[in-house]
Amino acid sequence: MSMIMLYFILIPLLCAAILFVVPEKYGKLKKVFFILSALFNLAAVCLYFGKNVFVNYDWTSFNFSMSLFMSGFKGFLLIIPAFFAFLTAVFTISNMKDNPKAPLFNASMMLAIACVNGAIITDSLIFLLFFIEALAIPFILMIISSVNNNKKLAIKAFAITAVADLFLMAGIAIIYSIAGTMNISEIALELSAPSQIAAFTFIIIGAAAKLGVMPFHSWMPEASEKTSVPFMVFMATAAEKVLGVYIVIVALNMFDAAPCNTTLILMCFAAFSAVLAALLANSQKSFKRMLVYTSISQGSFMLAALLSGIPLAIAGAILHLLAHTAYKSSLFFGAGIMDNTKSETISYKNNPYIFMSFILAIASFIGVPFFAAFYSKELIYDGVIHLNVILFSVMVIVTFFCSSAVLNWFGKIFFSKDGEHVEYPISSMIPVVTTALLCVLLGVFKNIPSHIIENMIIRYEYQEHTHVALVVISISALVFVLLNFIIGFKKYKNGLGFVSGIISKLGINKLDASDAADPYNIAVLSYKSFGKASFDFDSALNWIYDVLIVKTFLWISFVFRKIHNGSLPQYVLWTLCGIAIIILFFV
Amino acid sequence: MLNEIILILIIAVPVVFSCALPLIGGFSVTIRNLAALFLAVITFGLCLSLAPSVFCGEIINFYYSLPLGFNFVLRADAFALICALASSLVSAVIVLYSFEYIKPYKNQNEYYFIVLLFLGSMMGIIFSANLIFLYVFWEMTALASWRLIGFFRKDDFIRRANKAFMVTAAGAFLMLIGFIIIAEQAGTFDLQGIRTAIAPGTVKNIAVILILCGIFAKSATFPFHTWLADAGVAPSPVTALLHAAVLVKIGVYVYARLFNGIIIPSEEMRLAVFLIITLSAFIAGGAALIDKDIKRIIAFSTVSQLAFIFLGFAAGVPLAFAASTLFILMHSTAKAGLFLSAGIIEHETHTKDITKMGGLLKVIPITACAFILCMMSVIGIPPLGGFFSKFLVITGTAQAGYTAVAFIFVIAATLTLFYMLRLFYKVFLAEPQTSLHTSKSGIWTPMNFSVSFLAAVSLIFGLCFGKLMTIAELAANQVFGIL
Repeated sequence: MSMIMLYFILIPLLCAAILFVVPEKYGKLKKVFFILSALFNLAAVCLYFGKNVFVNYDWTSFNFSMSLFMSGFKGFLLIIPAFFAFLTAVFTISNMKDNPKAPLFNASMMLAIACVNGAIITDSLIFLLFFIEALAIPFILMIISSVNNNKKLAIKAFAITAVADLFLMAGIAIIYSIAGTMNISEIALELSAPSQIAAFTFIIIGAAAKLGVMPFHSWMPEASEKTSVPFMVFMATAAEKVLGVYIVIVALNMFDAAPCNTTLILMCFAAFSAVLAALLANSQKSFKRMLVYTSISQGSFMLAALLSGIPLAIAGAILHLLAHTAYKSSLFFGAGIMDNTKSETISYKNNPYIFMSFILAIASFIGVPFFAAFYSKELIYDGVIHLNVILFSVMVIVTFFCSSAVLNWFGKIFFSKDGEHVEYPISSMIPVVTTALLCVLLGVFKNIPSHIIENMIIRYEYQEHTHVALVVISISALVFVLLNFIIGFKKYKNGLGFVSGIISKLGINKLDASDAADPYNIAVLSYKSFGKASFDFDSALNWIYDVLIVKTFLWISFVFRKIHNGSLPQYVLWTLCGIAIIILFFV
Repeated sequence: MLNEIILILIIAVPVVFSCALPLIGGFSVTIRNLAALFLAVITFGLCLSLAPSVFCGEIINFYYSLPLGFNFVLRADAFALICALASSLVSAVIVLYSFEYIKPYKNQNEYYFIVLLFLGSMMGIIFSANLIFLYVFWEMTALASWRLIGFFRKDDFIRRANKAFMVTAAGAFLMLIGFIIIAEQAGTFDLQGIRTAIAPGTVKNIAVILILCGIFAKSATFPFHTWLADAGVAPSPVTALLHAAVLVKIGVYVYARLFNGIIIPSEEMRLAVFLIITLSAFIAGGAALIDKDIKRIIAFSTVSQLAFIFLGFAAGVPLAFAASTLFILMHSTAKAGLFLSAGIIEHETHTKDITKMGGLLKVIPITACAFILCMMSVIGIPPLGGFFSKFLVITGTAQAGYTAVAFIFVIAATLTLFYMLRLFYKVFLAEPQTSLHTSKSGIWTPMNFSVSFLAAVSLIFGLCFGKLMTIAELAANQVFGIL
């Protein structure tokens, strides 16, 4: 039993190694092996779901061990990336068939699965950090493995991720200094002392970067256009989001994070990011960029919900993680199929499967009752409204703007006059339809995931739901956004309706168009300025060594040469002076 | 008794037999090269032969009494042996790399003689347990590095060699005065005697300041660091030897040895050290972001990373000490790999200016792969060894109660990330410059083999970190007197 836990890491690692090493002449065999590996991983995590196992391996001194801990909740989280990895693997059959770097992508994805599995099942903070930082390697390789020249983007994404991971490192270091252990399950801290607040904040920063919260988001819009759809689905939508949510939950469990000023401040940042990203989503000229901005918004939305510390909202955030991954993957896969079109528009009459899939995914996205995201958002609203009404209102607004953006694109894609007919193989369609159906299934059988999640949340207690009022508010907002879309589209040929006025008034479109507003660019410029100042300071120091000291010694030498003029009386006088000084010194 | 003989041989073999290399070189260049490699390997082998005893907790002592307290005392504990193994291993790889690199140049006999003499002196410093002999070996390394930096004999290069010598020798002179003050206070130059004679926190601050001047000068720490970047004019294997593996580690080693266990400085002195190393990490890291010379960038990186090593040793807790001990190991291998890769890059492109490079990933893929691994170790990306050592240095510092300092060094780590990524991008990924003439050389040359070996070692160290940490804990416990 003890070794089985390690296999969750070692088997994907071995598969990755095989995919890296086996030569390309066995290309077809490698493809089959890749899909089977992803399927095997999915089967393994499903079979292990619900088991509670703790294993401790001696690793090294200072009481550091490599402990692995599997629980029902962790099993649930493991299934999400495993399932979407399998669908992504199926999607790559046709989507990446003309990409010569596809083998690199496939191998990297298996490596990423090993890292994600490792990060989730480990009970040691060192290894949590280890796997999360190690994920940067497949991350960068997957970006590079698309057909475009993505080297600069890869560097950018890597830098952003690595900086966030350093914050996580700082948080973990401080936790160890306070708790004296690296074992997650043994840590129980309060959130009161400055060092505790600092540790909690740093860990949340690390998690926020995984969730794509601003300002760590800036690689994502560019990635949506330059990298492959499989990367966006597996890495940006599934794996990173799951890890982000997992890290926040770990932090909440380690710290007794009942709502307090620290969590409230962090929630405000998350809420701001959610609103801004939702607004930005409405100003996008590309479908994939719009999807990415809604991802950023929804990631921030989940973070805010988790930070509320209210079990109901936490349960909602976890369910929303699943719902969001499902509908966003469906839309991304659909976008992947549309890559073959010139205008990002397709005819709904000639492409009924895509059209239907999009309807299901978008219905979940905008929160139509009986779809997954409706229930997840209701849970979140239900929890958050107990804490803060303003925050609840912000969340409703975020949902409204995200819905507006996606409906606008739905209209553009399927109801434009120049809608094209696209040819697509069955392997591309399977993931689109599967994920779309998942949106329905998760809604219809909502009790299954929510029951699992609610049982897993520590300190979960049933709270009286203010359900009816919230449902009315949600449905009113939904009706409003639909009316806005329909009226806007029919009357002005603009699905954004009155939202477009808000966007242009606030100057949101300018914000996105300017590179100067990119937080990464701002950071790079700041670093360059600091570097220039350091370099100048170093040059000044060099001048002291190379010029000042040398010239001073030459001058002293010159003076001594001058006074050594061969005059005996003068030498005798110096000797007498020297003797006098010595006598004075000793007396 | 056998272990004591081995201990003496570790120092004597490279020091004594290095003198024979110029003579052998008169007969055969190949035999001289092989003899130099053999001496370096045998030094490593001798160190390795002590490992079973020392890493099980045994401390090997050799004592030979001399007049005026100048006793010849050697002591091999786990900390010393880890440093000796790191230095001798990297030195052996550097000698192998030199076969190809140094081939076209004059004064090869002197080169190999000085390199081996340098290695022997380093071994002397590591195992010396008497301040006077430590000083003697210290100055021997200064002389050797002076000759090596000025190896190409151009006027500007000699000026830079003189600068390196003057800065380190002036620092050493101040350090000697510090040693004398300590000896006056303790009544002996022997480290164990000093340990028992001076109570923690009672050492004279002036002695600590003077010794720190010597240490910081040797380890190229702010404000004495400028010689290191200038010393980049030396041949690449020399820069690897001086900047990465051996010379700059001397100061760090002596700091760790003296100020943990032997002399416990006051809290004010500790805070002063934190301030200096913080400045060092930031100024050097910032300068590395701007400089265009590949060797200077890596040299600045060394200055910055040395601050991390100092941090662990200055924190004063076993965890940080053990982490810094392994940081020496990880940094030595990775940084030597980077410097040697820089040598290959310079060899291929005939320039050190990174803005004139680009696209080398396809031209020299083996070097590029080795460079990536070594760079990842320096940045601290798992599974490379640099990840664990950097993380545990930060953790140990926080554990010692210096949480703010730990966080400041996390910020410094972001500088490492940025300058390393810039360097890698400009050299390997950016669009190739039209003016660049690259000469694609053979694949498995000694130079490529050397850098690949160091990259592989960096990876293996990361994978075996658990075992290494156990040894480092033993080292820390011995130094802190827990064992």
